[in-house]
Amino acid sequence: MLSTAMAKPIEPERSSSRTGQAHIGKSVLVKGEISSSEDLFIDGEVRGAVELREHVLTIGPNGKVEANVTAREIVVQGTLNGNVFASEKIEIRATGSILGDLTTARIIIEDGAYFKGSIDILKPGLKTEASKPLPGAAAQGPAAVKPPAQPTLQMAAADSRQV
Amino acid sequence: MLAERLRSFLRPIGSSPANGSPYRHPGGRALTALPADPRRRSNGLRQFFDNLRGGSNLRILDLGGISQANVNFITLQGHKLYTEDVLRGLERLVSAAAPGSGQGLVARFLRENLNFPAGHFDGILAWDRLEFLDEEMLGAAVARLQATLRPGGTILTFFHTQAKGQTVNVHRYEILDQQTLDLRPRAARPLPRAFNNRHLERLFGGFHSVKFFLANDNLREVIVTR
Repeated sequence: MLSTAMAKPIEPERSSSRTGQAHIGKSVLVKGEISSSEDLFIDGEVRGAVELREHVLTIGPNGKVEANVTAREIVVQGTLNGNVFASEKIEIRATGSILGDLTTARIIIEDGAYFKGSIDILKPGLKTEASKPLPGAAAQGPAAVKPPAQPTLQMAAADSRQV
Repeated sequence: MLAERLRSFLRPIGSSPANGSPYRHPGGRALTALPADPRRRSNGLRQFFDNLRGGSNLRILDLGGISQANVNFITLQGHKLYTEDVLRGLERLVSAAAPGSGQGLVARFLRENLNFPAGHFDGILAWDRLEFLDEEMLGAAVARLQATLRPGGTILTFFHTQAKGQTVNVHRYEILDQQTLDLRPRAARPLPRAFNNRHLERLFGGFHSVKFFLANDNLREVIVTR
């Protein structure tokens, strides 16, 4: 189920289409699974699961994500509760907060960032595991989020649009 | 009441600016003297890593919150790092507690913090975080740490040697190498109580051994082994 809580009509941001990045605005609430084959910027609220595989997820300063996340790179400026698998990099900015278990090849933490959970650094050669589902060990972490049994929201590069 | 007592413990007198320069009182006065060189040799840290020597894929818990330096150092050795900022957790709990409350605060603290399986960790870096806990909470936290540590596992913790009520710097301790720390001041707080060796031996009485390293910068380093 996809539900949106819109405080005001959402204006499409054409620039995000041009740059190949989908955008979930700050007045949008998504419940369910998001699967995307392009980069995604979340400044709204997402509950469920997010799978971007070879792409970049950015959680904006207003973003609140309660989901297990799989992506190539993840940048967190807002709040993320859930376990995270990033094949290349996780970046927690000064305003960012993560509660969950992280598995990644590289992590960058700005001063002031908040994190509670565990960090597993992938050894070289294991990076290709990125496309696999979240590792079982990590999924049992303190913030493991069980995705609701709901339809998925798929975002494809050829059909880039504002949600 | 417990909540008020904790509020008074936790109230920072100054806070560290983001750029890491010496923090100052709002009136412009530096609260405590900062050493010219923030690096510090730590015999306790050396002992901590000596105790872990030979182990791989170990589980280490850092109670000082996340730090890039510590993540790099611990994970480069092939260990898994867990981080939790126990003081920040306490601050959140206390700020949410209603005035005059105290009932169940310790139980709630333990439900929301230090909540790990028994025998889960090979080592715990507690830094100076324990000494800012209320006495009741401190005892409960130490018992919880003991339970989450595997037999033979080690805790490194620091206690200031100054008198009760004296203002001390609370630092973030960043590991530079196996025996060197970089001290980053976060805030200045009054010491809620003074600990001597006997107090600490009593506090960690349930452990197999307690070892002290007294440094010349008013910091007592303690290595506790389960």
